[in-house]
Amino acid sequence: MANRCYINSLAQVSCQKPLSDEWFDSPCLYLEDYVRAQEPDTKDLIMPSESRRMSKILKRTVSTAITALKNSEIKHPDAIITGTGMGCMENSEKFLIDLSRFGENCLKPTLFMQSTHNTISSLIAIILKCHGYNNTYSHKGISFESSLLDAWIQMKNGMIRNALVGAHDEVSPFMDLVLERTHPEYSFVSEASVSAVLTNNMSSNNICEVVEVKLFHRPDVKELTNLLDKNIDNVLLLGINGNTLNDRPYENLLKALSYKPHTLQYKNIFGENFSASALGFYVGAKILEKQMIPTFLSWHNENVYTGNLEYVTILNHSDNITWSMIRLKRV
Amino acid sequence: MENLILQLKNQIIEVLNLEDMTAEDIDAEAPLFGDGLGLDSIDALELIVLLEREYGIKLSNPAEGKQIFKSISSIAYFVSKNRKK
Repeated sequence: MANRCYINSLAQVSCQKPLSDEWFDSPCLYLEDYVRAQEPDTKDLIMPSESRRMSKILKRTVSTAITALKNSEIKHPDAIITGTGMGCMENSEKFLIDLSRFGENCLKPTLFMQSTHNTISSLIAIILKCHGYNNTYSHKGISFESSLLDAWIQMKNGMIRNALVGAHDEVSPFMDLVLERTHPEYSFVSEASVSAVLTNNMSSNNICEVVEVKLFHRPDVKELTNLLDKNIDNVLLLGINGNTLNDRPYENLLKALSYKPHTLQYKNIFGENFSASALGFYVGAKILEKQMIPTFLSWHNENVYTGNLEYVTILNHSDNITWSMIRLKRV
Repeated sequence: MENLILQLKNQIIEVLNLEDMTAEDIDAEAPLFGDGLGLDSIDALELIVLLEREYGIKLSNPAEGKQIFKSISSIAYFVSKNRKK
């Protein structure tokens, strides 16, 4: 496992200004419980003949993927790996409503093709003409980490040199109603599309290094604290969202640690959805790149962080069943 | 026939999501595929579904498709002769 895994570039579309780092200095603040993503300007990124069939999530995905690749040194990644909790939700809704309206006789071809989860990853491959490894992980709130782990293991083992990894989720008004019932622990529901170019090539353009990616199924608190206690220089970026049901497991974990880490949040400005942890990954990388922690990310800290920003550890859980730990290192 | 051509133009704009186009922009005699509107095979499938849903026409012979979908005028002619709705 001698190979390294660096983040070479990143792009996001969310409720913050799309394809931009403007949120770092002046974030958009919301009081609503449900906020949709700010749509990117796709005119310079996608040809009109290609975009006319694309739903919102597909336009966002292609925008982040193309922007991340444009800003990177890689044009044709060896692998395209995508995480998505619910896939092309709006197209799925339209497809089913349409099918029902016409007596379940006729399928609308475009909606049929573009309502599956793996549409996202395959569309990027078609546009980029990448015929390499292409995979989609759909594991609720841990989908992004699953795709990142796949890329990380393959890069560490020398199976691929680089990868385009991302996570994309849209939340339609109908789905927001469903989430209210099925996920009461969510507050401030939003949408996310994040693409990251990973490379094993050491370069001055790299943003940071992904030193560790771990997934845990129903972990013992001790299992997590043992790992965190090893790295006491950590800044912890947590998936807390202001809802007790979601936040209590993080608080229990922090209480069990042998030290008091500097704790940060990101869902207060990016919101909650099945791909939110990809935004955590993006925020962690940007903190290391800019060597600065915006004050609005601070959570329950008595003081401003004054130590070295060498590492950021991103902790996330999905329903307190699956946990993930991603450790980023400054380059 | 002119009403049917206008109706087809509007339905095609909606079904194929030709956002920046209006019925006036489409020449009823211009080819739909390749040059002209530049439609592709997925659009052809959408047009087949459109004829079935809106006019009750099932294309039994796929070989006919090339001639039927040559232009808006040819579709209108075919619909006027075969429509069940």
